[in-house]
Amino acid sequence: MDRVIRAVEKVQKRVQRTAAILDRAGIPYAIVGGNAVGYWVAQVRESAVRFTRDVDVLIARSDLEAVQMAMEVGGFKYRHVARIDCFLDGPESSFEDAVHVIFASEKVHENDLSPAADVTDSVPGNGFRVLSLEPLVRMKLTAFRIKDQTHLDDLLQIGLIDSSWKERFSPELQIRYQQILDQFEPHLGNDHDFTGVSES
Amino acid sequence: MTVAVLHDFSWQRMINAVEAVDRRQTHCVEAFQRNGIAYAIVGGRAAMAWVDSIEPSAIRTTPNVDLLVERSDLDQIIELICGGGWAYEVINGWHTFAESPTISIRRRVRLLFANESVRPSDLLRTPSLSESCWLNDVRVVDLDALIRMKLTAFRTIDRVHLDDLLSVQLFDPSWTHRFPTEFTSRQAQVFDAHEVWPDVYVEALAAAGFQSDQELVEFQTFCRQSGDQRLDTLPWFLARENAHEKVRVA
Repeated sequence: MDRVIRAVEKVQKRVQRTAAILDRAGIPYAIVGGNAVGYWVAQVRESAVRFTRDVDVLIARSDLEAVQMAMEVGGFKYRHVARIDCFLDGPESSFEDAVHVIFASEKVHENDLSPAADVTDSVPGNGFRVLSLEPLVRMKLTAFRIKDQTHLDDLLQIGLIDSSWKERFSPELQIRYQQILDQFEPHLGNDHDFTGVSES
Repeated sequence: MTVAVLHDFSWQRMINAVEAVDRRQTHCVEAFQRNGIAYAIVGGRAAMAWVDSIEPSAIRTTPNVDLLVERSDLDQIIELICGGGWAYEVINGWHTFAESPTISIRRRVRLLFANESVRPSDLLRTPSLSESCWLNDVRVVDLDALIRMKLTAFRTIDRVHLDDLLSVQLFDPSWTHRFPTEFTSRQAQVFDAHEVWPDVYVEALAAAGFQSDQELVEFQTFCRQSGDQRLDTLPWFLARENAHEKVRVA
């Protein structure tokens, strides 16, 4: 178990270091991806968070040079591999344990249904800025890999999103949202500790 | 309409929640081991244990603890676990345990029975308890059996766990023949959806002698059109169609 906790703490420190560096440099950013989902889920039910090592940060492409300078001063090493930008967490770090860059208001993949969120669509978390819930859901619907679908299911399970959210998205994304709703299996109900959520 | 009430975000509370899941597992597993009850950890915690055995930083935590046991041991298990002050409850057919009756189903320890179908529509039954091994002092379902269970359930989260196992190279398409042919298309979906890390892709591309994505695409096209077997000598993730697009961005 110690290894698991160390792995979680390593991710926590990477998020916090990244945020501190970018905050100090005055560069707008938002934590996105699995850690952003974790942030939102944890505010309703900590036990429902699925920790992952992915640290993804949304920045404006025009800030890349400034981000690069600030992150390298902070001990990260910039790499550009296979069209992907990231910051390795020190010289011994692997790509898997890096901070991955997503560019705001740009499509991550050429065929994506919508661009990534704007970097201003963020809220202050506890020590880091994180993408607001609606643009985060939109990004998850856009990527829509299996792990994105799991994240959407987690958000549904704890009541952070529901069927009424569907109309917030474009018709193409609404089809995907409906797919998540159709796949949804409530966790057998009887959630005694689900006091943070009410149905109305 | 659902309204979720937000509380303050806290890393420490999240870490405490992860530790609480582990304590639940430990409580039951230690009781089983002390009393000679056969068990195996299955589900997301088993996937996590296998990933941890290769690369601890790649783990994905889960709130569920699922334990595979013999149905014939159920009465003894209830007596043992509840004797320690825990609550036992059958919820929608699931036999569950937790340190308090107020703990949600999602966080309870759930029992699955060996050699039974979890859902009536399942293609395969759960494994036997002989299909398990020791990993870090606990019994964990064997990798083959875990993959079989995940292919049987094949919900979104099961596919994520299969992808996690692929990521640390615990299995790959060479395993396809180990599972019933009914699962071939499910496995193909998992392999096709898998995104490799960019450094893994670039290194494999270079090792195979390609200077660019385009060269790989041209080689694939040539091999497929001419029946050239050299395609089979490439790492599986380079040999698949649109390999260059299946690189993980984030």
